Amino acid sequence: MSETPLLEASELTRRFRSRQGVMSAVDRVSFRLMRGEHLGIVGASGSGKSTVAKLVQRLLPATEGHIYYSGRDVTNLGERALRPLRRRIQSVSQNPYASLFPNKSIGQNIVEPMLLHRMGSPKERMDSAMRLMRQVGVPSEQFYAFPHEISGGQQQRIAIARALALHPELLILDEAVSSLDVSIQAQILHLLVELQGQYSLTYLFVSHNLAVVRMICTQVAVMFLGRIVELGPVSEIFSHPAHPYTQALLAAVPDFSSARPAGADVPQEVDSEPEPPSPYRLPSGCRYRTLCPIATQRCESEEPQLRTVGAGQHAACHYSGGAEAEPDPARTEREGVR
Amino acid sequence: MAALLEVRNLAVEFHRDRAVSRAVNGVTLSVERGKSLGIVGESGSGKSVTVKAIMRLLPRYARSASGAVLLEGQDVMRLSEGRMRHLRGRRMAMVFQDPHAYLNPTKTVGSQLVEPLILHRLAAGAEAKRRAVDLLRLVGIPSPEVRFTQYPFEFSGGMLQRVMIAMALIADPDLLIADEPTTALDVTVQAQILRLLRKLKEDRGMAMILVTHDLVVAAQTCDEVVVMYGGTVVERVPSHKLLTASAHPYARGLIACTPRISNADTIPTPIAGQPLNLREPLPGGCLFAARCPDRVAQCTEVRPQLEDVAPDHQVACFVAAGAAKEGAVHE
Amino acid sequence: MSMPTLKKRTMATLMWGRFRRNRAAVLGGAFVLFLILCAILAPVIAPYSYMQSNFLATYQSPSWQHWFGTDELGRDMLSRLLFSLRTASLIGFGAEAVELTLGLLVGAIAGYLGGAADTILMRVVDVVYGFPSLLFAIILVVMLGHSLFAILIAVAATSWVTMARIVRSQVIVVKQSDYIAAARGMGANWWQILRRYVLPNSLGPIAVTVTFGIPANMMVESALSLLGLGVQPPTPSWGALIANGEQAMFSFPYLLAFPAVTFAMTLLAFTFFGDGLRNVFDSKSMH
Repeated sequence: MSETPLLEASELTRRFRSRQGVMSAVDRVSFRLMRGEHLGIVGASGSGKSTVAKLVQRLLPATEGHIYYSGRDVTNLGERALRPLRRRIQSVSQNPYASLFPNKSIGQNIVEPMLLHRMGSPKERMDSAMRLMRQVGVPSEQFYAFPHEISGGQQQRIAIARALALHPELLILDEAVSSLDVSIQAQILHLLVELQGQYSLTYLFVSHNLAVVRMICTQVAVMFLGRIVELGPVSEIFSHPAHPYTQALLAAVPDFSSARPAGADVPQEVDSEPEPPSPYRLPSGCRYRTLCPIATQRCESEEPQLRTVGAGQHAACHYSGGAEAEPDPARTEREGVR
Repeated sequence: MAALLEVRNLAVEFHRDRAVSRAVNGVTLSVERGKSLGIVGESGSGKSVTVKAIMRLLPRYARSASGAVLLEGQDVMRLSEGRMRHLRGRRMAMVFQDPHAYLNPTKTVGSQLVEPLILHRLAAGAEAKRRAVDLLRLVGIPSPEVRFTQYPFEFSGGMLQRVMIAMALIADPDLLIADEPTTALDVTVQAQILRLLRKLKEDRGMAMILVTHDLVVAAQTCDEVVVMYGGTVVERVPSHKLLTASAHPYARGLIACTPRISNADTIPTPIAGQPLNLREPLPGGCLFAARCPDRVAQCTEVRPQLEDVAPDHQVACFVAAGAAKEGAVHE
Repeated sequence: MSMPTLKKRTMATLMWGRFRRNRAAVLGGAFVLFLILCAILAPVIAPYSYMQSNFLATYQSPSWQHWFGTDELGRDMLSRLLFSLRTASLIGFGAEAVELTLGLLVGAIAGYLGGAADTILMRVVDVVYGFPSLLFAIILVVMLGHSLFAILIAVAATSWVTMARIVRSQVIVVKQSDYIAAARGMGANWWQILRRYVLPNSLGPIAVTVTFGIPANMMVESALSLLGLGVQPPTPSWGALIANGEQAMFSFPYLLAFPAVTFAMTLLAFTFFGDGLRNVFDSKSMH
């Protein structure tokens, strides 16, 4: 624990108020992201994974908790003090067309962040935009093409190039390949891996696609209704998931191995839809218990906390990795400080 | 057995703002009673337009240049709108990607569910309600009597998709068309809905068409799969062969670039190049030729047609069909 | 898409290219431009004075001397029409400028800030929207007098709220778009965001509203004149010309025909032009 994490979230909470009441989209989320590592955040829609991305980018204020960037608390920095930090954290979102400036050509889109930060002369900015275009695989002759004139895959390449224009350390990819067709998705994944090494980037990769997370990330956080239920190295979690929700999630991914053989089986029973709890009326104790096959009385009365269940692997379940496992050391450490 | 639905050489163009978009360029396919057909392709492949053309649900600016859609021998494309309305729901019914867009938010789910029954004069009053509640139970909705009186916003996405399926089934259609029914859903819910569709098809002996961009979903759910590219069918293959023995270079390319959770150490191989731009005149030869790794001279000159590579397996590719013939000679 | 373009292209050139293909819009635009020129150059190009009566030449049918004929006082109709165009344009464009300024200010602040500022400003807008606009204009003119400036204010007094509403909704749409989040993520401050991204991308519907607003203002001005509440004679106004022509419409139909037809053509030209603009902006957002 000598190295300072590039990004640390500590007990990060974001509550939203609406007519239906108050709900915690993100509820006491803590994680550390080391330089050069890549954290995947996975979960169903409404799990709060995209909200986490917005919180750490400071696009949305946190209700409680802290965000540390290279050890510095940036949770409450003002917009002006935040500006240099913004250069170091860039993002690519799900819908590339909506995130590109529609009134500027694709080349000018890449120039724009450099212009905002007054980097270089106009000529230098244009040159480095063209260099970036070539790097992400868009011919630089298309500098003056507009976002609506190019394909979705090309748009995402431009969005990535624009994010790289400020030479960030941390790249937040919020469902960045989800809206792309698989043939294009694979191209972008290759590009992301290539850039990882070249720019020594750290990725925060938000996705509902577990297979893609497995390819890109070193660490993974599994979220369920605002909580991280499992956290750890990709290699551990994908091979032996500890939390029942992670297990269910992995089992549901359509995979080649589960493709049915000739003259296949027909399901005998129609399973009735298990109702996920409303985020406005969470069950007592563990919030997964109403869907959990192994829930007991204890899960009703006591909310499980993340604790170590394997090599770097943490799960928030009373019954994973032996019930008597020791509490999370990182957590006690922080508690001790207060 | 004669096919329930047969689509012959269907072509659809969109004319808008003086621009033409060639969405479907000669699709031929068929489904038998009790069988399920998957239509797989990426965006712009024409898969969704094809099924909307079958249901005659295309917008006004769509023009069908050629082809026939035969439902038990009757050409659906030549029917009057009145006859067509009679057909929709009763003979063929459709489930869409986004149930929210197709349900009226101001009416209860129950009143919308019985609508087809009343429309087609199949049942009314208490009898209609009984059938609707039974169906809700059948598609796996707990406490269907309560759910019957609720509004769409009170349902989760997966639940609402079950309602849509119930609504499609209520007039007992011969053919169920599901257009990306699970794309908007979470994986755990997707698995449940796909199991439900398979079960329903089997129990009711109806035919089913499943449109999806996900090859694995199609392979798991259907008996047979057609792969579409640029508005044409490039391969027709039994689903157990799709992932392991498909013949068309595009189909193989799609399989190679699909991320697999079981084999995620390597990043999938992308298909080179950009998707076909359907607003520009189509290339003369094979539509996939520009991106194809196996391209030969013939490919850019002549458009390949579907050819048998096995009795139940057809492919529109000179190279693949040639290789299969050669294989047969050597045997 | 073939695009070997290192030639500089801007959104404006792109949109002009699209606009140019719409023949009705180009014709409409050209006609509007022609009208503006006529209005500006009226004192130079008008063959006669608009107020010089000539009792030897009353009610003359169109001829080489008087293209559009003369009225009951022998005044040249073409000259009067040209000068009434000047009045109409002054009111039309002037009031629109007032509306645009007010609407932009109120709409942009309400939309951009949201919250209490939005609520208060929009309640004011709702109240003004509730006023019957012509009646309100009449009351204002009666109170303020018949000067050009008073009429301009009377015309703009109620119609700026439409602009405010459109600006506000447009700003809200743009504000919530992904590219504004992207700009914030890049470290753009609020002023840069407003100036570089929100305003340029809100421009479409605003420009369209302006092109439809101008003829609407001209209509209000004419209506006031028609009721005798417009600019005072001898300054000519379209409404007054039409009212005047109407009285003699059976014996001297050209007195009504010329002002009425040019008036209709003007409205039509603005409509075609505005439609063309709308198409240009629409197809930009359609993709």
